[in-house]
Amino acid sequence: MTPVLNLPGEIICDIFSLTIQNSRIFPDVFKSGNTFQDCVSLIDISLICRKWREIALTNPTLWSSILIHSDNPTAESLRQVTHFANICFTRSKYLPLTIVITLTNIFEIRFAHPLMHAVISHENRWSRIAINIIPHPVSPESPAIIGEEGSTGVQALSLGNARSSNLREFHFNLGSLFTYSMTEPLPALESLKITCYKLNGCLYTLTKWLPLSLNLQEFECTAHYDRFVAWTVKQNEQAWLTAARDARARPHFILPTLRTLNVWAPLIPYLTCPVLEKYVMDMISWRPQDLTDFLEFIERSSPPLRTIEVKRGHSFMDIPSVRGYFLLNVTNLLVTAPDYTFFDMFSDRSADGLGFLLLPGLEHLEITACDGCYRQDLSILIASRWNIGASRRALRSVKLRECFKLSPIPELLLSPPSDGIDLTRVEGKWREIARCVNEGLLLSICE
Amino acid sequence: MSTTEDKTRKVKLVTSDNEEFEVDWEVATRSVLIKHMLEDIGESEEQAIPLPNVTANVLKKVLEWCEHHRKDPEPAPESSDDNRKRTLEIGDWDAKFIQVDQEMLFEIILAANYLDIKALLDVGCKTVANMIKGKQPEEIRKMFNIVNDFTPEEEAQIKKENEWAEDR
Repeated sequence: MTPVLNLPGEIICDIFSLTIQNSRIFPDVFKSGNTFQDCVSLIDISLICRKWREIALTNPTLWSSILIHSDNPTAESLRQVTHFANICFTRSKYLPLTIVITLTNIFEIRFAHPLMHAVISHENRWSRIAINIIPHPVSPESPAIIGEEGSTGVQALSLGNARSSNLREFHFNLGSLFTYSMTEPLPALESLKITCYKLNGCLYTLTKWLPLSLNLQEFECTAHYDRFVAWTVKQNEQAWLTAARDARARPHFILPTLRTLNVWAPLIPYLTCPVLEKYVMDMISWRPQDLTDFLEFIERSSPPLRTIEVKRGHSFMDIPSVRGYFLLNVTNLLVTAPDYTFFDMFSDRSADGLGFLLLPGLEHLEITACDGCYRQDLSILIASRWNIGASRRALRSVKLRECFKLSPIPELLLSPPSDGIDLTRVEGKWREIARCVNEGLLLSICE
Repeated sequence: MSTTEDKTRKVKLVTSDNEEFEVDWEVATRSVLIKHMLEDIGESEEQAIPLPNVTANVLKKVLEWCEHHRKDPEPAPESSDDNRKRTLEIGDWDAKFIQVDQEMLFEIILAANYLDIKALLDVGCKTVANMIKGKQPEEIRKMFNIVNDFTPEEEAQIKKENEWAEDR
């Protein structure tokens, strides 16, 4: 017998599982590209010989995680994908499902409907679900192409049975595509991230999900509008209005276990989060009313909030209604793609020169995707926070993610020798940061 | 938990082809099987541990791995999320160590499985998974010298079932 066939079935199964490993890792962020070939590698494995086929087909765990990334998919390619998904659903038997679907540059949303129906038909087994559907930027918008059967042309997509204790995560960027009629609690649901449209659509989503999500740890409800949203809204807006009428009183949601929140600013008045630790903003709103709502939310919730994240760093404006978000007790700040205004605002000393105007207690700064042209500003910010003097210094660590790709940070700064960095060996542009590292600053990078 | 005395202790292992190896306790106990056998025989230092499923040339290779990893921490207990976190990455030393012919590769995997050395088993399985990944069925058969043992009828049926995937 060939040596590989001498291996016990459980080891061969483990090898199969490793072979499809990429299709089992739940993404932090959605990726794009075509990896359908990887997705179906299990199919290839099951075609090798009788022994391998039996091992592959009789192990439901191998088929219970499905990751589909498809760029520019056609109706035909999505038919194949749906067929593959259905094979996985059958072979995974009764096991909880992890399903990650990313369809980018898709011309018509109705191409995705068969796949969505297949996924929904197993909603009672959902465990971790992430679906991201991005329209092609130049695809036609003609109603004639959208569908021939009235305004929708396809059967509505409704969730009603996502009731199992399995559902742990649900991420979906096209919330207006689904309507919801779940009634059973979702005790295992930890992470809910949905992109909606308009206040009515967002409130509809909140009303349907939050009362069932008793142990939610992370909640994201952001607003977005593109042509797929425009189309899906047509069929579901009536449901939102009916729900709004049924709600009668203004809804309010207390989320007793929520630790991370990222919601569209107008939704803040509807929420109370007593254990919130991290507040995330896609963009910082400059509207004074949004800041008032946020401060009332903080007063109402009294959370142990320590971390603020801003995903679009260019949205900083040096005005009171922006500064107001940076509460005194916040110690961790995470910013993506900051610009000059950000560095300027957080380097500013207070009038007496003894502290900082914003976040005087900032201990950890994490910056993602910083443009090389702001390297000097970063250096000034770090040195400014460090040079305040040991007795008043709060800053302890700086983490840089995907920054300065053209002029990477010298390795010496990241792994300093035990007797300190010889500053004469460090390029002038990194010397200030190197000095701070010598004096105890923890600097790390993440690619 | 190991004691200082344990760490200086020597352990005798006897392979299926009757070759005897004397190794440090710390090296031998990378194998959970050997560790448990040593616990069973207690202080009896002279008693050799028989390993009837491992030949000398394979044990020599396995002990090379155990020697290099003698100071590694004990593997953490498995959790339900383990599958999510596993990747196909192999450390530089392990990647070089496992560059052996196929027969030895599968012998190492079998020995690691028998001796219960999870980390070594993992290196072996990842190596095979990396060999399989991205290859067509015929390439996999050729690489591992696997005979296509489906009958023509079975093959036709399987082919029909998977027609959908052919032009992907």
